[in-house]
Amino acid sequence: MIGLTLSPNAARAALPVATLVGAVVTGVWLGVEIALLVIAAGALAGVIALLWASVQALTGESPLTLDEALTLGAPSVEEEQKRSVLRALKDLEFERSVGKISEADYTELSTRYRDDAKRLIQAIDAGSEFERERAEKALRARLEKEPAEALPAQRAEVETEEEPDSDAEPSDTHAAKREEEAS
Amino acid sequence: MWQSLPEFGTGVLYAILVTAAYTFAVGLAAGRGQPRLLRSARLGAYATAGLTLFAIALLAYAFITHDFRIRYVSRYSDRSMPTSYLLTALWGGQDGSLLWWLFLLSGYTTVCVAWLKGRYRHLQPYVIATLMAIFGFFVVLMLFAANPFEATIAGARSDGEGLNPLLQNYWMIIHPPSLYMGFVGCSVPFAFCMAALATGRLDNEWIIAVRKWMLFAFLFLSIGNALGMAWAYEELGWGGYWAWDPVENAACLPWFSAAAYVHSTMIQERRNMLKGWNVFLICLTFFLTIFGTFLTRAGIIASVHAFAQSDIGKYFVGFMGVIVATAAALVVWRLPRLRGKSQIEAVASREAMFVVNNWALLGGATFILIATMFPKISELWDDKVTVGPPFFNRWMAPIGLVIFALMGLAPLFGWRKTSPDALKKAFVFPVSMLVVTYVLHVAFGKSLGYPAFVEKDSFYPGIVGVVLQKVGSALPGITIALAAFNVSVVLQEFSRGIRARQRSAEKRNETESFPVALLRLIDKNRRRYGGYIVHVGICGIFVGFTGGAWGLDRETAMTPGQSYHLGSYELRYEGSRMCPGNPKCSPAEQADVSKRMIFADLTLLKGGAVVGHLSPAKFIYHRQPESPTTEVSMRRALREDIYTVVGTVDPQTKRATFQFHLNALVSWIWVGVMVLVGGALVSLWPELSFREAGAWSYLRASAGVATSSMLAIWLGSSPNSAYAVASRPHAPVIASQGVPQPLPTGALGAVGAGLGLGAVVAIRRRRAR
Repeated sequence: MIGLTLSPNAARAALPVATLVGAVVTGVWLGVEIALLVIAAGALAGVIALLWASVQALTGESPLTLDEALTLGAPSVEEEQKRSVLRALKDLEFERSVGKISEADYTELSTRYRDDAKRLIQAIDAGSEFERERAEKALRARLEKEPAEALPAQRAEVETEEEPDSDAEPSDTHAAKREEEAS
Repeated sequence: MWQSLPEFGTGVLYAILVTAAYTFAVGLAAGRGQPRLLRSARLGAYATAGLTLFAIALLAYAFITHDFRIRYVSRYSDRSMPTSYLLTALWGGQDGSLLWWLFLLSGYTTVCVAWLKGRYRHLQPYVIATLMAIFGFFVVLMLFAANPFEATIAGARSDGEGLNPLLQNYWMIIHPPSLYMGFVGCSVPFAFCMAALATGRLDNEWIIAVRKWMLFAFLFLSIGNALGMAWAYEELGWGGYWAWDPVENAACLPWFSAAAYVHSTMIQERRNMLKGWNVFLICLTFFLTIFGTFLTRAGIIASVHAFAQSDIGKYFVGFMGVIVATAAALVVWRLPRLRGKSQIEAVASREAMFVVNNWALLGGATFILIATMFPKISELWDDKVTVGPPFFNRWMAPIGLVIFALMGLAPLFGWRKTSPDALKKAFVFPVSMLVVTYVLHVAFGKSLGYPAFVEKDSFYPGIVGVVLQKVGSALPGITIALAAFNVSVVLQEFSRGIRARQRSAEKRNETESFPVALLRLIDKNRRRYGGYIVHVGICGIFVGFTGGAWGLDRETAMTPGQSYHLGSYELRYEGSRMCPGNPKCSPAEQADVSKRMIFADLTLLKGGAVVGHLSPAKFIYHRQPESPTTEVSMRRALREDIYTVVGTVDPQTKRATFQFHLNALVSWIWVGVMVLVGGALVSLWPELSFREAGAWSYLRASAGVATSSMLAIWLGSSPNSAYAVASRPHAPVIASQGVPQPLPTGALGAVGAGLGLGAVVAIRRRRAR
C-alpha cells in the first residue's frame, strides 16, 4: 500500500487547480456551458469545505497550527511608529542625495528621526523583556531535547532567504530583521 | 424549492447573505483578539466569495444555455448572439451588473484576505467585517429590488430581446469590467480606513497598507475611463470622446479623489500630518463610487448611459446614509488621534504644494459634481436648467490647467522647506523649457497648423465672459508650454537621481553606467519614479485634449463623384451600397443576416494621392429597426484622425449627408493613458520581497495582463482602424451581431506574449522562492 501525504498548502490548492483544469478540459471537449457547471461545482465544493472549517474554528474543534499562530502576532504601536521613522530616515537620505534638502535641514531632521527611533526601540525592548526571557527559556529547553546537528541546516535555510526589497512593506513576523537592515 | 434555475439562483443569493452576515458577526467578535475567531472569519470571507463565484457561474450558464425562464437573460440576450457577447450581457443590464459588482468584490476580498495573512492582525477583523457589510448591501439590493435570477412572469419565451447593439462592441467587453474594477477596488481602502478608526491604530501603518490598494483602484479607474472614452469615440459617432454626460462625470469623480489621496498619503507617511484629511479622502472616494452608481441606476439625472429607471435609488440613499453616519461617528470618536503631530512650516515645501494640489483636484471634482447635479438642483427653485458640454469645457479647462501646473511644481520642492538656492537650481531648466516651448509655439505653431492662440466665442456677457474667452483663446499655447514644463521636471528628476547614484558609486570606487543607474534608480524608488512616469502620461493626455482646439468639424451632402476638402485632405464620395446583397460586400457582410448595412464609400486623398478608403455606415438591426446605429469609419494617426460619419443615404440618387471631423492629436490621449498605466504598474510592481509576494503577485499579474491586453488592442487598431482599408476598398472587416469580429493577429500575439512573459516571470519567482 502506498502512503500518499499532501502538504496543507498542496491540499488547499488541489480543489482550485482541479476545477480550473476540469473547466478547461470540459470547455474544449464539451462546450462552455459544461465548463461553467464545472466551475460552479468546484466553487460549491470549496464553499462547503470552507464553511465547515470556519465553523470548526469557531467552535474550537480545530486547533491553530504553529504557523498560523505565528502569523497572528500583532505589532505594538511603538513598532509601527518605529517603522515609520525608519522609512522617513531612508527617504531623507534620498532627498539629500539628489540635493533637495540643505545640509542644515538634513542634520536637524536626521537627528530628530534618529532620536525618535532610539526612544521607540528602547520602549519596545522594555516592553518585550518578559517575552524574550520566556522565549529564551523555551529555546534552551528545546535545544536540550533536540539533536544539535539539526541546527546548522536550519541556520543555512535562513541565510539563503531572499534579500528583502528596501521599499517593501514590513510584515508583522519579519519586521525586526528588516528594521535592523534599514537602520 | 430548487426545481428551476431562477429559484435556485435566488436561493444562492440568500446563501451569500447568510454567509456574509455570519462572517460579519464573527469578524466583529474577532476584534476582541481571539485568534480562532479571526481564523473563522477569514474562512467565512473565502466562503462568501466562493458562493458569489457560484452565483455568477450559474447566471453565465443561464446565458449560454439561453434559459429564458430568467427575465434578465431574456431581456439582454437572444439566440443569435455569439458567446463573447452572451458573457458581456452579464453586466449589460442593471441586475446582472450588480451581481458582477459583487463578483469583483469577492475577488478583491479573496486577494485581500489572503494578502492579510501575517499582516495587520489588529485591523483584519474589521477589514473583513466592513467588506462583508458591503457584500450584505449588494445582496439585499439584488434580493429585494434587482434580482438577476428573477423568473419571467409569463413563462419562458422562445427567444430573448437581445443586447443593445451599441453595447456589442469590443470596447464594451472590457470597459465596464475595468471601471468596475476601479470602483469596487475602492472598497478595500475604505475597509482599512474603517478598521483603523475602529481600532484607533491611526498611525502610518494602515495607510501604507492602503496605498497599494488605492493605487490599484486608481489604475483601473484610469483604464476604465479611458476605455469608455475609446468606446464613445468609436461607437457613438458624434466625433468626440467625452460629452460630460452625467454617468461619465460620475465615473471620473472617484478618480479625482483617489488622485488626491495618492499624493496626500505621502504627507502623512513623511510628516505625520493630515491623518484626518486622508481618512476623509478614502471615505469620500468610496462614497463617490456608490454615489456614481446611484446616479447611473436611480435615473434621477437624464443620461444616455443610464440604466432603466427602478426603485433601487432608495436603497442606495440608505446605504450612503449608513456610510456617512458610520464614518462620521468613528471620526468624531477618534478625533484626538487624528490630529497630526506636525504642521506645514513653509509655503515653499512639497507638502504645501501637495495640499494645494489636493484642493485643486477636489475643487475640480466638486465643480463637476455640482454641475452634473445642477439640472436636478435647479428644479428646486426654477425650471430645469440644463448644463451642456460647452459649459463644462469652458470652466474645466482653466481648472485642469491649474492641476496640470501644480503637478509639475510639486516635485521641484523638498519636504518641510526649500531653500532659495535649491529652488533656483530646481526651476532653471523646467522654466527655460516652458519659455522656449511657448516662444517656439507662438512663432511656428500657426504655420504647422497648431496655432498657440485660437479665438473662442464669448460664452457669457460681462467681465467673466471676457476673462473666460481670453483664457480659452490662450489655452492651447499655455497647455503645450506646461506639458513641456512637466516633462522637463520629470527628466530633471530622473537626471538628478541618476547622477546621485553615479556619485554614490564613485565614492565606493565603482562605476555605474547610465542605463544601469536608471534601472536601479527606478528599482529602488518605484513609487516615486512610477509616479513621475504617470505624470508624463498625463502630459500626453493633456496634449490630446488640447488637440480639440485645432480640430475641424464639418457637415455636408454629396452625390457620388463629388469631393470635399477637409484641412489638407480631400474626401471623394464613391457611392453607397447595401449589405448583404451588393456584390461589392465582403463575405462576412454577405453572411450577416442579423441586420441591413448601408455603407457610404469614401476615398481619402492627400496632395492628390490616395491615402486610404473609409466606409462609414448605418446598421439597421432586424430586432431593433427603430434604432439604427451609426458606424464610424476613421483613419487614425498621431497627428490627426480623419473621422467620418454618414447621416442619411438616398437609395434612389445615392446622395448622402456626412459629418467629417479632423480630430487633431486625439491619439496622444490613448498613448498618454498607456504611459500612465505603465507608470502606475511601476509604482505597484515590486513593493514586496519574494517571500511576501503571495496574493499580490496574482494581483500584479492580472494588472499586467490587463495592460498587455490594452497594448494588444491598441496595436491591433493602429494606425489604421475601423473601415479604413487601403488595399481592399470595398471589403471592410466589420463587427456585427451575427459574425463576431476576430481580434487582429497582432493583438492576439501581444496578448499571448504578455501572458507568456507573465507565466515565465511567475515560474522564475516561484523557483527563486
